Amino acid sequence: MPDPLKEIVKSVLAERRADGVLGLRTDEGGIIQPYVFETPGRVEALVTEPKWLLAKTAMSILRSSREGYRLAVISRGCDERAITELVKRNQIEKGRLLTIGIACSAEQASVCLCERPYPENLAAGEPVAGVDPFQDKAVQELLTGNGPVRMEKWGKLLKRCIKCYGCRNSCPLCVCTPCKLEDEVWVERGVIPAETMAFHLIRAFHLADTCVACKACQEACPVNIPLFALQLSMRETLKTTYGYEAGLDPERRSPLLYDLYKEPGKGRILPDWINTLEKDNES
Amino acid sequence: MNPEFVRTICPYCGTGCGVILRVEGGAVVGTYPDKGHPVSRGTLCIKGWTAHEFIHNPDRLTTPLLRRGDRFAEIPWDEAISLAAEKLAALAERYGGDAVGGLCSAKCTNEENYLFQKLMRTAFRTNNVDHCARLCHAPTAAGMAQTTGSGAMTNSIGDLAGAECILIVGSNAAESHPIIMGEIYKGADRGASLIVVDPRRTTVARNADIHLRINPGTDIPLLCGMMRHIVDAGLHDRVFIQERMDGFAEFKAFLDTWPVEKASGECGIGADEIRRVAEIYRQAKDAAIVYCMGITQHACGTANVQAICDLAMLCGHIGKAHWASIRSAARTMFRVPATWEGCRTSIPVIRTSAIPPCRKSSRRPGAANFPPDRD
Repeated sequence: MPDPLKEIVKSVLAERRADGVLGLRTDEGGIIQPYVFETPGRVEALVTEPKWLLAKTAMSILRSSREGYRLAVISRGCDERAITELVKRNQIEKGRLLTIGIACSAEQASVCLCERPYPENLAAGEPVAGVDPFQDKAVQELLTGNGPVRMEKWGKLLKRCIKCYGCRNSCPLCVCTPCKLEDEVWVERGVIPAETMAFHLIRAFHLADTCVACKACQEACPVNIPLFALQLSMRETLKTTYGYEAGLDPERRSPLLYDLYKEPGKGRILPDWINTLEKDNES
Repeated sequence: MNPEFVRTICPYCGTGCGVILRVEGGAVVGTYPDKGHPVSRGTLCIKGWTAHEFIHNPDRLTTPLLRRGDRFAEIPWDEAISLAAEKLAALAERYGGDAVGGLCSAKCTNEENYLFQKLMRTAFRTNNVDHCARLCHAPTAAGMAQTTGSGAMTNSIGDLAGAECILIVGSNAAESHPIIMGEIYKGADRGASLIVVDPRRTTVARNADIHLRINPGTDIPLLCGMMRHIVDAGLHDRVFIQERMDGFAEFKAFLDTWPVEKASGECGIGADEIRRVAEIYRQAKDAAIVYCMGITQHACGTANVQAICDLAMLCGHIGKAHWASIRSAARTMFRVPATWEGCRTSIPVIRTSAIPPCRKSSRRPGAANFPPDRD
């Protein structure tokens, strides 16, 4: 039986809907790497595992390719959301990048603690139910409960940081130039570990309204810092306060940029979690 | 235009992480971590993330430079090669081959290292060839060959995460081999005791459960103190020692010269602390030792390595899944050239040049005989 995804990719190439399709390729030895398929004949080598985010790679290919080059990219849910955000933020020219959506497995969804393990524009695969990250025990230990205990835990984990910038480099939404993490004003360069928590909190807050919960930062961290958990609270706050989730609605701008004056009532309410550390300290 | 991705290995440290280079029109424009690589598993340190940057860097030397007076002049490759060959040959002709010596490097390929020793030995007829690994890897090659049988890491990097106790001696893996440090942290997250022996307060030490800040160069007293306590307390692995070790009686007699208090006086760590650490290491189900240049780059580097192996063998912490004597190489190609080709005491394929049968076995058809060792 022909693989439906491969057939789609072949037809995209045959019909010249894109000049190339970015995906993963396997060789005879089972070695997998990113690859731009440009002819239908090569598509047999296409694979979809392991999870390998391609949104940022697609963006940089488009930036350096000739004008008019159109790329399609095999996209998981998080890839698609990242691309939507990148288009909204004028990092990717709409119309030059086509997504070919694939659904993640239930196993992958539970590894990623992914709430939406499928793209809106699904081309192949059966979507599985999402996972609530706040039900995860490790996440709960990091985000709820006694403040000083959590602070110590976070301190211990963040102290390991070797400032490889892997979290920034792998994050599909970390695209600022110049990058604030290279700005001496906030974080001294060439010093490890990164000063207290400043390095990671700057990054976390910069991504407050763009993080699509792809977990690329955490997967790229050589010293296993649970960076994903740093983003969860802010994502949740935007969701409950403004009904906003990054990467979903291509038309809606971030409430942090827009809704504060348009909907002043909502912007003034401090979310509960802001004061939790202080409360815990008092008790 | 087809943007190309080329899988390769990071050129910096000996961890050997997988990188994927993005190539456009013949130029390397970016590096990505290789998700499928068994060592790095999609992670890289800052060296890996920037590994492509030197390739087309304008600061890079691409032509030979000849010193003329106080300036360097660019000269063509042909001229440089002829000049070097003529001058070296003239020296060898006039004063004999031993007037010439050569140093090769872990930053060169296997093939380059092989050819280099070949040049020195067959063209100049001298054994005066050595390698930067003399300082870093040779103590391991010598020390481990005599104790555990092979001068190489005993276990895979991934084994570290499963150890119950990780003893790190003279290694700042967090800065030198960060991807290996990630595996050590995985072990720590699963409850392993992290014990660091280092005179400096390194990043590794700051993240350890116990930091033994010894006086510089006193690794052997500390390790002897630990071993003496293990023997005194009867904690040594008798079965392992009987089955696998030679000369235990002599070793025990040697340890008699190292009472824990004497060791404590030398290394500056309290006797009780030495005993406590010895017991933590001994009583862990699987205990790993990680060491690096802080052990090998000493006048007593080989003995340092032997002391580490002795401790592991005394406790039977060898030959098991999560036992690891991890020696982290500082450079990409350390181990291979050092043990195979470049070093004065070795001839290709890890045979020692001091043993006549080995010298004979390396005589291949068409190859010149190795020069006699004059030591």
